[in-house]
Amino acid sequence: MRRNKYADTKRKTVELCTFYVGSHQFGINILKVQEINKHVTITTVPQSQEFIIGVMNLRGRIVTVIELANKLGLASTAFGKKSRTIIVNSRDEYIGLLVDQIGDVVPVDIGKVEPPPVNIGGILGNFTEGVLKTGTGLIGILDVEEVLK
Amino acid sequence: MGKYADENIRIFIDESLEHLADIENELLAIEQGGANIDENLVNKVYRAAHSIKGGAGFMGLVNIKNLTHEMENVLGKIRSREIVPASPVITILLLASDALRNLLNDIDNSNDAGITEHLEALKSITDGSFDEEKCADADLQPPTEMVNLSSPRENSNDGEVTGHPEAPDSITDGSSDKKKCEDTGLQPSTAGMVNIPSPSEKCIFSVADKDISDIRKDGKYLYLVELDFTQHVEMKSETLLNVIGDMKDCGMILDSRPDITTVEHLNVDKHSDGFPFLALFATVLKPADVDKLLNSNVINIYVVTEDFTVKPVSLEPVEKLPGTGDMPAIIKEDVAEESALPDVTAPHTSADVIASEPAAPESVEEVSGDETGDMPTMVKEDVNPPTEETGDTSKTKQPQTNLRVNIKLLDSLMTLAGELVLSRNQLLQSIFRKDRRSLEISGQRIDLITSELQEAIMHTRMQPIRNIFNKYPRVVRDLAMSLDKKMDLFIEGKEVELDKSIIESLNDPMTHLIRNAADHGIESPEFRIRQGKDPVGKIYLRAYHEAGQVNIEITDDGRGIDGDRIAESAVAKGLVSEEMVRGMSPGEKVHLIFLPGFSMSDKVTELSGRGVGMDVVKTNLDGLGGIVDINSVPGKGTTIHIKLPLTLAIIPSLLVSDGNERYAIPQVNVVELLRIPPYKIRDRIEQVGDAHVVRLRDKLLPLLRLSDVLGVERTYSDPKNGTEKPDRRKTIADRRSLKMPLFFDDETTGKMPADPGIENGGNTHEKEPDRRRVSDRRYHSQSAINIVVVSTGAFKYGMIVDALHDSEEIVVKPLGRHLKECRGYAGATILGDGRVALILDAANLARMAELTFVSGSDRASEVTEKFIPPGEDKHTLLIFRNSEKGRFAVPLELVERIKKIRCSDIEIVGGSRIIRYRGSSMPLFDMGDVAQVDAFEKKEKALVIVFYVAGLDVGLLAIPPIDSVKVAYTIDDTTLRQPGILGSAVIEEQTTLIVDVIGLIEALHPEWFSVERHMKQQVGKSKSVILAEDSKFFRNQMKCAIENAGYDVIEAEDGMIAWNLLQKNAGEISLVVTDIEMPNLDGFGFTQKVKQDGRFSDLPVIAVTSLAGKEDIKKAKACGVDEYQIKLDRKKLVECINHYLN
Repeated sequence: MRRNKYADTKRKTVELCTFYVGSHQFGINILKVQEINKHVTITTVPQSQEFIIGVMNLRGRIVTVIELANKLGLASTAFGKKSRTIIVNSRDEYIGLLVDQIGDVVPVDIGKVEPPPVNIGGILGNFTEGVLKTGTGLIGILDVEEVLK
Repeated sequence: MGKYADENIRIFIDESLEHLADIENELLAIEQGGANIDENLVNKVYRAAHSIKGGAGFMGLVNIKNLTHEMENVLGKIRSREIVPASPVITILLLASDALRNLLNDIDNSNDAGITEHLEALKSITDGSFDEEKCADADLQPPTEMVNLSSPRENSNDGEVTGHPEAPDSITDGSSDKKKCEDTGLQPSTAGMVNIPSPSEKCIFSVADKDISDIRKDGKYLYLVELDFTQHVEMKSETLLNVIGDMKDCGMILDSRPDITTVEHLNVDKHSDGFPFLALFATVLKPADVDKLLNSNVINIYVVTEDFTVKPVSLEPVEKLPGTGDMPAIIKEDVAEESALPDVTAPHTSADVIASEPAAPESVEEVSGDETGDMPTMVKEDVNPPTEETGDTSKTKQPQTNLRVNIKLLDSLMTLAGELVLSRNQLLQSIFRKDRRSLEISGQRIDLITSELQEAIMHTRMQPIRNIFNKYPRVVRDLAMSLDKKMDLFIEGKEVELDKSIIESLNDPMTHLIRNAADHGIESPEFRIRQGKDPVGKIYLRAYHEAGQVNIEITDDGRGIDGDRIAESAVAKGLVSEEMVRGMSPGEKVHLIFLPGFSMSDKVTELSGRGVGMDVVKTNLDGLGGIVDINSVPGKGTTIHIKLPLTLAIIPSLLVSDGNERYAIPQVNVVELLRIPPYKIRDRIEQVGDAHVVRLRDKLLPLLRLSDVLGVERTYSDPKNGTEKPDRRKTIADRRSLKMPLFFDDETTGKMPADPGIENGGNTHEKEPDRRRVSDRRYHSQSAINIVVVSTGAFKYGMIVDALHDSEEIVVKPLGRHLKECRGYAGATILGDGRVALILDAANLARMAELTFVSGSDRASEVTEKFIPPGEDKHTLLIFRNSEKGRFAVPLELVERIKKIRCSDIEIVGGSRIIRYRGSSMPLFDMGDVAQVDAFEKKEKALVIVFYVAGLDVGLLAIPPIDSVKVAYTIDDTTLRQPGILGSAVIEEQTTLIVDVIGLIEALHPEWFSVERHMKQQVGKSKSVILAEDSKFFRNQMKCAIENAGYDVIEAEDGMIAWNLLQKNAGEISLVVTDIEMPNLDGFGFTQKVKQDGRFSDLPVIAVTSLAGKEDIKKAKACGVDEYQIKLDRKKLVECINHYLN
């Protein structure tokens, strides 16, 4: 089912913006990505859900920053030299995803995207659209909308 | 009809709505003028209607055109003083304008909307007045010709249709119609009538010449339509009604033979046997088009010419439109216009075919009567699109919105934008050149321009409040009529401007308040006279600026709000408990009206009591960042005060900081700032239970600590190195002292809670002796407490924050969707340094802290009091369940409080369940632990019923909901008795186990009671107490408590028995505990006996009862009662006994 999403798009290749959460490499469709920010000042929002780090100011817009690791059930991300905030555009709203490290932009032949293996169930499985095998390892392709639900 | 660009329609709608907005108030003014008609005013309305009509005609909006046309007719007659604009007439006009507005707002469907009732109502006015008019000016009758109507049906209605300018029907011969008119008693109808003969000369239509001239003026053609049923109906399988319908759709049937109503009401087939149907038909359609419309091969259509002769259409397809001689120019113009829209139908004139209406005056009344019934909806509809004056009508469907902006304003915006660009260039240059001085200058300029720009842009959004205020005269008028009251509305400050979006959202709550004032506030005239008031009620509506906010006041001089009744009603609805109400001031009681779900059910009327209460008003206004307050003096009137920010986009706010973050509190909520210096904290801040209050001008103000509500770890920054340290103090007034140094452990020793570590007084420097610290902290300015006194309208509270900063104008930005559930924030803003600050929502914060001024309302809503027949001994029981099956009851008096918890918060330590409660652990028990009942059923949420037993708070687990009932019951203490269970009783027809809390705890933790036992032994030979109490249950409870305290108890079931026992055991008994209400001899009597007897007069008497009225206490004291205790406050009872006996 999920692969159909890619099949539906007429284009043969999509570009993935890849990044790391912990040691895992993930990718999201680059068309979803608005920008990637380095060090941002984040205002914490008490009483919010735990995966929310806080809000930041993106040129006058208030952007909610989400700790992707928490959402994916992985070890939490600390702000560091390599950590980045990927600003994605979801339902007309900018949302920041905090990741440990940013990776390359990988062009992907849609045909090569495989459905997520059944054994990565759980939270991760719900968010994964597909899996791409590269020379170095697997890239989990995230369904951003699903993650941000 | 051609296709018109959306834009044209848009402009038309905007303009029309603008016209309409005026119409309403002018109509009201006309009404007030009564017979003194201000022609200018009428002309204005007339012109407005006329321009709408013109536009509608052009656009092909038939219904709108028809409606405005009819309105115009009526107005014309008002102008010519043919009609007195009495209330019924104006009502019809107003309703018509409402209908018109609805049509305009839903332009796409306007042609399909049903407006016939309005048309008829309007027509009935013109008809009726026509009658009079006809009487007034008898005029010449143009020549007549007789028409043959082959088999005319008698129109029995005609006689009543006085409004109809038509001649009596059933004219079969060619005699003069004047005579006929007389025959039917329609004497005036001969005057000013035109007779139009049918081609077959068997029938004459008599039409008022005014109508004809109107028709001509409007550029309509007049046709005589003849249908041959025998052919037509059968051939086309179309009924007559269809044809009539077609005709009505595109024109107006002035008259017909047989009468249309007869045709419509009776079976058509009956008529279809062979007689033709004749109708006088006015339309803008040109002969050729009429031909097409009506399929002339079966229908004969004749054009009625200027001289009132008829010619077949087919012969003169392009006949020039005939007109009255005196207005040829107008006719031509209109014709030109109409010829552009050949298939557009046209309005009709006043003569109506749907003529079964009663005579005009009657029908007017009837309509106005109807109208009162419809009013709520009508008014509501009228009120719903609040923007009609702004030309922003799109609320209904299209999301497209327009705003009219003064061109001057736009120019100034442009200038400012230009200046801004220049300053930017300057700024960039200065930055580039690193010229500090010019940088400063351009900074200042930009500052200036920005504020000007902000102001100018704000202005474009600003709308005078007039836009909504102007509606209310109408609302009040309609209400006054339907409620049969007299009232005047005085409006002040219409020119006050508010942000467009606020104005829009203000409409509903304001309407509600006005309606309330009119409906509930103002009394009936008779009642007012009896009260010595002016029979005419007054409602004042005032708007004014104050302190950067807009204030709106709605004042009525009506009956006011009786706080006690509100309170009663709130208690009856279970919104608050009686105890809470008891402590309330009258003003606070009135405020209960804002409680969600509150409504004075006994006053529900059609108009304002429709289940929507003041709480909705409050919620709406809260949403606007506004505050609503209510003041009421019973018998004098009510004032509702609304404070609103000027705009929602930019609001002045106070910046505060707490923890590491800064927050903004809208200035509208800030009442004052309070700083309590360290050395006064102890005096000013007090603790009531676990709530803190501050004494402010002799009033207690509840306090909440922002960090607690938000669940942020409190911190203070170490003044030495600036690092943040967690703040561990538990209470605000927590001070460190020599005895209890707050920061014991090394890591925190002596850190200054520099940030006004909220409460804490100071701290001192590391490794200095305690003594030094103590003294130091008092002088550290930062250890003062900063309190922002915020108001949510209904109540005020103090918010403790770490630090207060500036007041700033902040731009409100919405929070993302993931943060929507955080209710404590109204949005976010970006501060000067680019960081985001959250905007606090004072009302929701209070709610989160359960600080509502009726704070127990949550619980109270779960508690309903059952009706109890007076005279029975009853007790309030708390009914709860620990599982689906287990139903238990415990006397409410024993319950300390009830707490909602999440089951996930329950910890299991050392085999027992505990929960953190007020900083310590509270053991939790379940009935299933001891008694033979089902174990506690774990759900997401649970309730903990807190008891105070053996010097400890213990919790009993229950699943929500719980209930409390006041019942009389008898305990069966044998059948089901077991540890923890006193027995059973049938409560609300269910067997309920009565919990013995002490027994329960004792069964589980006998060691807890060992101390008391120990004490008992110490007492040695225990003293005896006589206990008179008729209720077995309470007797047991008290006996148990007193025995636990180490005394012997002699029980007595009533005062008499007690007295006898006392006499028997004289000398042994050292104290009397008695109930007041007992059979045989009550507590008062018993006490008197005791006190009057020399042997016992020294015996202390403690009365225990659930009666706690002042009078009872007085009486008890008079009888000689030494102490008065509330039944089952066991702790106090025992203390009291101890006091007397030790």
